[in-house]
Amino acid sequence: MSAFFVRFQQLADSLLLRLNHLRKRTANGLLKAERSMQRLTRFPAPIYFGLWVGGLFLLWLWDVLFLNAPERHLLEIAFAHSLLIAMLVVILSFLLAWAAAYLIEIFSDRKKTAAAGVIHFCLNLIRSLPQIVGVLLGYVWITYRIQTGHISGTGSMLWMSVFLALFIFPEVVALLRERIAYFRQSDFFNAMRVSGISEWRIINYDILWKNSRLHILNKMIAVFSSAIFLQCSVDFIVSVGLSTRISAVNLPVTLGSLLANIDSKQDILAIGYSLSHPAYLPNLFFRHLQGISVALVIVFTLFSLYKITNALAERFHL
Amino acid sequence: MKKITLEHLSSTLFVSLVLFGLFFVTHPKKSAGHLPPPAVQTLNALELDTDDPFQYQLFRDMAASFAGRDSSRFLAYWQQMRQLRKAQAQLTSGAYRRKIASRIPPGTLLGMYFNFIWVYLLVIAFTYYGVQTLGTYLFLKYKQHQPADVVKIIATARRALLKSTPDNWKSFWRSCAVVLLKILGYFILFAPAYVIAYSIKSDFNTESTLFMILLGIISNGVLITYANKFYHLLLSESRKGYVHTAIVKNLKHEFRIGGRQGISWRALFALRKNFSGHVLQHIFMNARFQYLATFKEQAAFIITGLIIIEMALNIHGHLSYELLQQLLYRNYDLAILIIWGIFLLVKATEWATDALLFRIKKRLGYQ
Amino acid sequence: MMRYQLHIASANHTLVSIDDFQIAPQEITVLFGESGIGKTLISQAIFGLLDPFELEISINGKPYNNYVRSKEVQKLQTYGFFVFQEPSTHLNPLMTLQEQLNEGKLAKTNRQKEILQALWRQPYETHVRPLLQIYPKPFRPSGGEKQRFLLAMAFKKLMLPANGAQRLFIFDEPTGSLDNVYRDIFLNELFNLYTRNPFTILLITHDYSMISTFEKQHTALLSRIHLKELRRINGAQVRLFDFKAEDYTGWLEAQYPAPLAKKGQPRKTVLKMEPTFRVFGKTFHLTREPDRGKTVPLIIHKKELIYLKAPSGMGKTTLAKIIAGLQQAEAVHFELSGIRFDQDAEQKVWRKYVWGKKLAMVFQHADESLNLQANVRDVFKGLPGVNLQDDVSILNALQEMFDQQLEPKFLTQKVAHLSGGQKQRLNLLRALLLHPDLIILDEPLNGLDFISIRKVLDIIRRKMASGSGILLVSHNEEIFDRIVPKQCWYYLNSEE
Repeated sequence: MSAFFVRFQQLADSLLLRLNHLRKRTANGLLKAERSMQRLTRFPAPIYFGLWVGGLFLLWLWDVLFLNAPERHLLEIAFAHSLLIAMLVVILSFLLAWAAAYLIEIFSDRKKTAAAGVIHFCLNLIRSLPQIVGVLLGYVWITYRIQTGHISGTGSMLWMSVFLALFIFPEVVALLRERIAYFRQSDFFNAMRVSGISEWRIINYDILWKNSRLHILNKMIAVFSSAIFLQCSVDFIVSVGLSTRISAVNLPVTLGSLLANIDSKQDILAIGYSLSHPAYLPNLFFRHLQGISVALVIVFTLFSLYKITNALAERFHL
Repeated sequence: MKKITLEHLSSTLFVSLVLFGLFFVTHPKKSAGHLPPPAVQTLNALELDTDDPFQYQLFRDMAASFAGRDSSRFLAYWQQMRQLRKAQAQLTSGAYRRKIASRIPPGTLLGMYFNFIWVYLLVIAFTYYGVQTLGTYLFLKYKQHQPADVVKIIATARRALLKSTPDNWKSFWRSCAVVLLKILGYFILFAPAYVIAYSIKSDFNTESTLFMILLGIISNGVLITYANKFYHLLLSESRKGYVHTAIVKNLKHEFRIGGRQGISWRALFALRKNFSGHVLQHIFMNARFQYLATFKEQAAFIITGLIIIEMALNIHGHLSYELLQQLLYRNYDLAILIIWGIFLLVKATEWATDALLFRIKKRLGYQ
Repeated sequence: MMRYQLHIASANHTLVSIDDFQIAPQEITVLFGESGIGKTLISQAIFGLLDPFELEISINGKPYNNYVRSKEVQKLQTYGFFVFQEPSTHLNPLMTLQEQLNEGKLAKTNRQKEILQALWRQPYETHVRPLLQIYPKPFRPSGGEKQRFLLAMAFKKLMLPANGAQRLFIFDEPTGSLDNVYRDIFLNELFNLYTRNPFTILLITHDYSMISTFEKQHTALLSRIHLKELRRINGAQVRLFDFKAEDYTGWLEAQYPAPLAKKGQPRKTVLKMEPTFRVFGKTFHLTREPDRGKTVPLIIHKKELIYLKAPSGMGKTTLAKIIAGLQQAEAVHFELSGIRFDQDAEQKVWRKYVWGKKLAMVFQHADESLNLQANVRDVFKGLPGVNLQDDVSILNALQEMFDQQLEPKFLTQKVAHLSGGQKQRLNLLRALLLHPDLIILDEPLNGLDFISIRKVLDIIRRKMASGSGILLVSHNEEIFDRIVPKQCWYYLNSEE
């Protein structure tokens, strides 16, 4: 018996020693991880981007395992459509903003106050209309054109991007004008002008490309985020408010319209249910996956983009 | 000030003219209440099929043989009868009845509009306070240069593994809890309003005005986006030269919350923030001045958020929901009226902001 | 001796590094050095003003965080003061000057009126008191007045008891916005206070003419004034050298006026301007005498250097901008290379006929005039009529401005990473390559060290000889009074 206890003691000691050793090794590993993270968190923008992509990938894997194929396929298409529309909005709003900002600068410089005034007036008008109302009216027009057969499903995505870009681009104009004004205040602009360098080159190359690239990039990420938010909101409203009995419109499926789908709404309602019935929580991740996935994609994307723009602004003093 | 007022007035006038023009074009014309001529009424009573070409031809032949050269008068009666039949058919159609039934009285619309303004003003006031408080808090946290949350979790885990005391483990779990709470907080702040509302719809009354105000403040990313903008304004101002001058005049310049040299919680949460004796006062006053200039953008964003909330949640008896309904039932004239009201609200906010900025600039001697 | 070993870097890029920076305690250290070499960074680091989280700083081998929290730095900040370079950005635009003069520790001094009167030398009630209620804006008060308010803050701090602690007062370009009269007033007041109760002074400046002022007006203090120059050794590594006063004064003595054109020799007029013009609601006159006198038209011929003199803030740069078409005047008449201009002339005339062709202007601050994000090669892109297609031709053009042999990789260097002297030479070269009829030089010696000053003056002389007319605006009167013949001096006066 005593031999047994001795043996048992030896085993226990050996186990404790191994556990202790493992604990120390883990602690050392964590120290390395801590130092790496401290270095990485000095410029976290790429990390947040990686987290966003990684997070969406993990969600997709989870859906592959636990969401039925037709619903998952619908979610993939909705995500692709939303992403495509947002990308188009970024491109269109930049082009519109660049044109407006450049024209205002040139007209103001050449004392063509009437022309500059007209552009200002139009921009102010667009700013005075809440974005959601403007985009909604755009959607009403798109709906009408689809019904009359003038726009196809794919074409409607382009038009949706146009209307979204129309009500977002004034923000980009404000940034571009602010950057140009900043350099006009100093001798920068005048020194180059007097040297005979064209205003086209000064504004587009020296100011916007060389000195404002990061500001513009940061703004376009924010525009991307606004596009996703507005698009999801309008699609949700249109799907909820504009009943198909009245206008059977075949708008392409997006995250917003998918969220307005009755099944997704039930899934979202389940979140509230699990707050009052915590035991129900695990079901959210298996049985209510469609709605939860859509909501998670929207919120996680908006959050990640916010973190990326924030990190860029802090790092580069934008 | 005159120039600013003129600018706003001219754009308001222009848009109002356009919208009123559209209003009158889309406003349904009352049938004058007059009866059709007796000849048309008699013809209508015969219950002829106006779409049947055979019956039309018969009628034409009869008219030609009866009236000769004057038969065009009878053909005109036929056209009037067709229009009368169409109008009668429309009046009896379900869609038209619903369209007419959905038209709300002007008094009700006005009431909804004032309610919308009231909610908007409350949300503006709360977000104005919230943005500055949260933005200042984020700025102070940044200036304390604490390690990132992930680094804190790893550091506390390491300490707990090396020295397994209850306090060390408590630190670790506290760091994890803080991160989870932050993630939850961010998700709520970034979630579109309809996601939050639908998730708690079964347990709370999501149609109350109070809930709408709460949603308007915390959801749709309004609070966090503008708090972040304010934070960046504070950061940008903190790098300017006058802050250094304030430091060499020996104003307090520790950015801790609490403590003799830091900022008190009371000052941070005060309605009228005043950090006198600390360099933050310099930074804050300049950031707030810059923030006022962007207030118009925030106001438009808040209105967007409120409209989304009312529309997406189908809150009956609210202005935006009515807008959606009027669009749905193609009462475009009422939809235009509502849009005009929203436009006026945005314009009023812009004018008020510009007027306030003008007053401040005048005091500073810029005007 | 206060000695510091400093290393300051930003995101793996060393900004400045010095092994032995010295400040003589209770004495006056005057620090020269070209713009951008690191004088301000070093002095701010010593005073504990840099953010240890924005930059990687080590001081005397220890992390900067520890240094900033040390008792030594706390005492330096409590009993010392730092007067910053750019007065415009170092005053809060949302507080009146009165409020800013009475903040923090400064509220404990009640000798404000005495100090302001000493710095203004004008009636307090009419000239100073009204300024106290102003919120500082870009143009009011003037740059010189703002500078004096910052100096007043320093003097107020000096009035406070030190309780035996070491007092370090750092003045970073304190006379940049002051003309010579007010510069001398400031130096007198500073040295009076120093004489009464010595403290440590670090005076950072580009104004070598201060050396003459020390020798003429403050002879008793010469033994306590240490002239030092910061020079680049290798990349960002700098070293402190003694600067011999006679290097400057001897050089100055050797300067001679540029030769005038022989009488009767035909000279082509590049610029002829009516003596009176009006801008910003004020009327200005051009004269040959400092205090009004007869007004004369401004005439510049080819191969002629004209020196425009006026007190600081009078409007010399504004006049230069009017001629260059960058500022519209309310009333002006001039003829530039045969083209007539007046207040109604449209900017498109300048765009089409003048800019890059007949006129070039070198602005004060090379940092603002050049695109800091561009590389050296890009500075010459887009210049009209300049045929610098390949790297060899650009390097050859640059070699004229630089003494050392330039490598091709110099062309790919970012402008932001060049020294102040290098930037100013690029700034000059961009204008000179255009071979214009008229070159306007606005403070061409701004921010340069002694070696660069000599180089730039050589370039100006050569350019003059090659045929351009030059209009010079500069507050370095001691230097240019010797180089420019008196017959080529003009004075700008306002009617007020």
